[in-house]
Formats: sequence, C-alpha cells, structure tokens
Amino acid sequence: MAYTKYGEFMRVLRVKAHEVMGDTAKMLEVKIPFVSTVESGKRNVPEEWIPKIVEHYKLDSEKKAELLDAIESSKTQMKINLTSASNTQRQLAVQFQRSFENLDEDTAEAIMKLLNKEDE
Amino acid sequence: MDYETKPTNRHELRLYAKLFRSICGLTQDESIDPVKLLDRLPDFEGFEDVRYTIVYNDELPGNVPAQCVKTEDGYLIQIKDSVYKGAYEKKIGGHRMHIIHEIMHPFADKLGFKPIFSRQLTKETPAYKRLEWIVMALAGEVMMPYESTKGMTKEEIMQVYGVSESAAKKRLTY
Repeated sequence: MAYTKYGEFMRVLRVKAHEVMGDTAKMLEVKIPFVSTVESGKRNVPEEWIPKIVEHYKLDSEKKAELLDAIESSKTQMKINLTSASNTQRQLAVQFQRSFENLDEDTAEAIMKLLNKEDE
Repeated sequence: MDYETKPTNRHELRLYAKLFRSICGLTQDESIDPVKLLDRLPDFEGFEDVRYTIVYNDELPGNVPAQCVKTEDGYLIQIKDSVYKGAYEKKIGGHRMHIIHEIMHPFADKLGFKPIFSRQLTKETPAYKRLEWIVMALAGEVMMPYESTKGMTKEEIMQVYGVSESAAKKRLTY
C-alpha cells in the first residue's frame, strides 16, 4: 500500500521538522487514527487543515502549491456542480459516475487524451 | 500467526541488529525511538515499500496490539491507537517494543526468514526456528544492543533504552 501524494507530502514534512504523526494530530486537534485515515487516502483532507499545516510548517507559496496539488491528487470523492449544467452535461455526469468504477486504464487514458485535446 | 522458518542463533541476530542500525543511519549504541522510525522507514534502503497506519483500537482483535501484513506492493504495519499513544506520549517500554517488533517483520522477511508453509509448527519446533520468536529476539537486540548493555543494570538498561522491566531482565540473561 503506497501512501497518497498527500500522505507522502506530510511524511516528508514531519521528518524534516523532527515530528511524528502524533504531533500532526495535536496540531490539527484530531485523533491520530483520523490523521492516518486521511493520509492513507480513505478520507478527503478537511479544508480547515490547510491553513494550519501552512502555518505550522511555515510553507512558502511554492510549498503551499505543492500541498494543494497533493491534496487534489489524493481526493477520494469529488463533487460536480450541476446547477447551471445543460441536460446533456447532466446526462454525461451521471453516465460517467455510473461507468467510473469499471473504467480500465486504457479507456481512462484515452478519455484523458481526448479532454486534453479539447483544452488545446 | 507463527510459522516455522530457517533457523538462526543469537550471534547472527546480533549481527542483523547491527545491520539494521547501520541501514537506518543510527550508531550502534544510541537509543532508538520506534515512533520516529515509522515515518523515516521509506527513506532507508530496503524499506521503501514499508508503510504504517494507526488504527482505532477496535479495528484489530483485542489481543493484537499491532501487526504487519503483506500487501500487493509491500508491507503495511497497523498499530492500535492506544499502543502508538503509549509509545509516543508516555514512552511506555512495552509499547515501544510492540512497534519495533512490527518493524522487524519486513526486515526479517527481507533477510530470508520466510514461512515454511509445508512444515507444521509443533510444540517440538525450537524457538530458533519460529518466526515470531526470531522477530521478537531481533527487536530486543535492536532496541538494547548487546555490546553497549554489557555491565549495565536492569534499571540502567530501562532508562537508557526506554524498554520495559521484563525486556531489560531478558537482556541480562542472554
């Protein structure tokens, strides 16, 4: 089991600061197993943790961007705002949600390429 | 679960303990903090695939303080919250030993102490062929280096190396 990008980011921060996961839990005012659950990717990183981590480890803007990227990559759930979506867009979102779990790597890559092409 | 594995002896285990300390960049006589070691493990050669997680107490059976399981891509050490806290906040020797014991599992596995599944473990199987005994003895040798504890009293070993009274007593008998 590899750590999530966020888990690895936090592990490195702790080692550099000579801290352990128990210190992270104290700093975030939560229980240690909860910190561990989030770092192993079973739960999303709570938004309110971000400023605490930035302040505690004195992260500069570059490091903060790395943290945000790590959090984004480690997300276990994502929400899509469909408030102003068209019917077709809504159908696409629902279809994608249904198909997501069965999506194989090749298909995922093909879709990624297609979406990136759209961006260009 | 315990298994029969290749035989070893104290002399070999002491050499392995020295090897472990050297891999981790530790001197041969300093005290080890197993809690700190958990985060540092993936940076050490041979331990890149060792991860850990702290679980709520009810996630492991009552009589299991911690365990190491093999995963698809390495090893996962699972430690009960109470055990981690005991080692982290109160520096309880027994809890520190539970953690180093689990760290020794992947190390022993990489040293070739693999279960011999074809051999049934019996009462006659000697300790030096039992995986759990080997890992336990290795943990003791790593935490309380043989050379450095020579001449020390039980109390001195407990204070210097942060181990329990029973562990220090055992050190004095080997």
